[in-house]
Amino acid sequence: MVKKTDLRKIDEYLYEIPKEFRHDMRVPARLYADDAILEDALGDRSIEQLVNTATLPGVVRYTLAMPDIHQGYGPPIGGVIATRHPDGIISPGATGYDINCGVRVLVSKITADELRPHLETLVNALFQNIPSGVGKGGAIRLNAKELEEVMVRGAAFAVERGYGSREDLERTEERGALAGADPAAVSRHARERGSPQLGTLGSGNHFIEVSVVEEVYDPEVADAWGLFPGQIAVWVHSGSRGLGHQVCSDYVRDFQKAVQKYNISLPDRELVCAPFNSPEGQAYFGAMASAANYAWANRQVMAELVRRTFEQVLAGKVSDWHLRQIYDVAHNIVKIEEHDVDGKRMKLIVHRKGATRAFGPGHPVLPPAYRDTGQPVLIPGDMGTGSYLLVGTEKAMRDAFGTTCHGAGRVWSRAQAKKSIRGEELIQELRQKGIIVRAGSMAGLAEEAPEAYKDVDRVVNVVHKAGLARKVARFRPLGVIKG
Amino acid sequence: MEGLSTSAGFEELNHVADRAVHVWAPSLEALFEQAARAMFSLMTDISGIRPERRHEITLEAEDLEAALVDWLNELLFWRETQGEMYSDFRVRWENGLLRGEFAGQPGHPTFAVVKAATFHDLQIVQDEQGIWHATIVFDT
Repeated sequence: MVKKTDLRKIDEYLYEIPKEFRHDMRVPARLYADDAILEDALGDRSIEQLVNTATLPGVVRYTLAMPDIHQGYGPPIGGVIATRHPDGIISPGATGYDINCGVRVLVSKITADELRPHLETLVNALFQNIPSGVGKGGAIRLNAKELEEVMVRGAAFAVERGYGSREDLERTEERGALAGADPAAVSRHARERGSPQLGTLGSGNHFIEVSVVEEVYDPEVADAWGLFPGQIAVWVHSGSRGLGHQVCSDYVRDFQKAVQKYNISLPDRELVCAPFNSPEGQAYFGAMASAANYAWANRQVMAELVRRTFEQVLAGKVSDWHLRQIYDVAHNIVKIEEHDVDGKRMKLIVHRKGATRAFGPGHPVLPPAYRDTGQPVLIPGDMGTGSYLLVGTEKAMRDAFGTTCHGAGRVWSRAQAKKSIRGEELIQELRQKGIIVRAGSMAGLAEEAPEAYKDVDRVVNVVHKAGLARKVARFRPLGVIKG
Repeated sequence: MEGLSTSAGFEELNHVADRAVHVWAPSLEALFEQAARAMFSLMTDISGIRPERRHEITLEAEDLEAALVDWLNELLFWRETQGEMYSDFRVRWENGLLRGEFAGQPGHPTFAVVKAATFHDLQIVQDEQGIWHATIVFDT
């Protein structure tokens, strides 16, 4: 177990475990936290898991954990690992099973007051129209050729078939398609799982939420992005479904051999990896990018289903039911990016596992709409509390490979949540708080109860104060669809 | 806890992000069967599943841990693509290959999904009484 005395306090919200802490560390490991979050992290194995990531071959500068850190399998959830391109490692276990699990936010011109009489109908219609839960197929069943196209072209595939607009692509990380996808590296099993599931939410922590802008912290940025207090928004949280899970399982399995071949010694088998420029590393990158693109197409289709539902329920009843996309970000992904390392510009392989890209103002990959402000960062909280929109910063670029946190982070195990909370009671409790919940499974819902999560306000305050992203607005949920 | 005797069974462990189970059985074959039962119990009440449809798979793996992960992930693949839930498992080893039989039914109500069985902390060990044990962490 890592003890508090093993950590060096670098800044008010930043701690470091020096390289000397364990003989196999190649770089230090850093954690952004306040006192309470640090105490929590010291109570389980998440910091030990963070230390493990610092042993990976080719890792540069330091590995990082965000304040939403919690114990995972392999790396902790809420972390960043950057390795040297092209010979540093790439790791499927350090990317996670739900490749490109991510969030998309759309905003309307409707106010909460205008929506109120129609809210229940809207939430029911969303639950009807967007397939969610276990074993639900999507609206589009893809043939083999279409699935390949989805894996290469991502969200653009969906837009061309009438799901959304070109403007949505502009406002999606990587324009909704990561370069380097190689469908040939995706197994038959993965394809079989992927072909019937496009446009489905799935279960677990995935959700669609209708929420209201409750508070604006940065009026200038909010104004530039067209946000105002009282405004209705929709959050879509989902990923690459069975296709992504299978890609990760396949490569964690295959890489067990690669580790021996490249003579890599690991503290945990789930951290299996291979040099990025090896045949194994290239195959995984091509398969991972294919799954990431599937996820962007998936959220693109669902966003359009949300828009159609808004039209179905609200056309003629409110002044303007249209939804405009703010942004779409990935939480579990590997990217090739350039960053400054010790004063030198370096090409890096950046693993974000439960972490969000937070590029600051002026970054060349950002679309014109966000070039002056920095990119929107979308941080969903639990279903009873709220979610945050933040903006990327220079400091995130300088100190954290352009990265910030991704959510609240769990504090209770799923088993504990299920034992302590009943889904039906939770629905009543949330209704009293003015939140309508529709869920496929009561037991599944209980696992996602607000009590199971850290306080999102606290997590966001740490990244805000540490300068890894700046608060723009807070959203309060009004209606939640769970799988 | 489940199982008719203490020599075979499983229990769910607390794991913050995901789900973990400790599984034990008097033989390796039974350990693999218990592990499958444990995994499906995380998703549904397996006692109500009727063994209407039966499947058989063959797997090859370089070590026991990899064989266990393969077996469980292959069952998850079948669950998702067939829309079935399974409760009846039989495992045997033949010439270094794992032959697994499993049976279940389509459309059985499910409350949660296991995405994958992981290698995290996975070790298959035999205690002094000859009982086999494994702790498996699932991504959910």
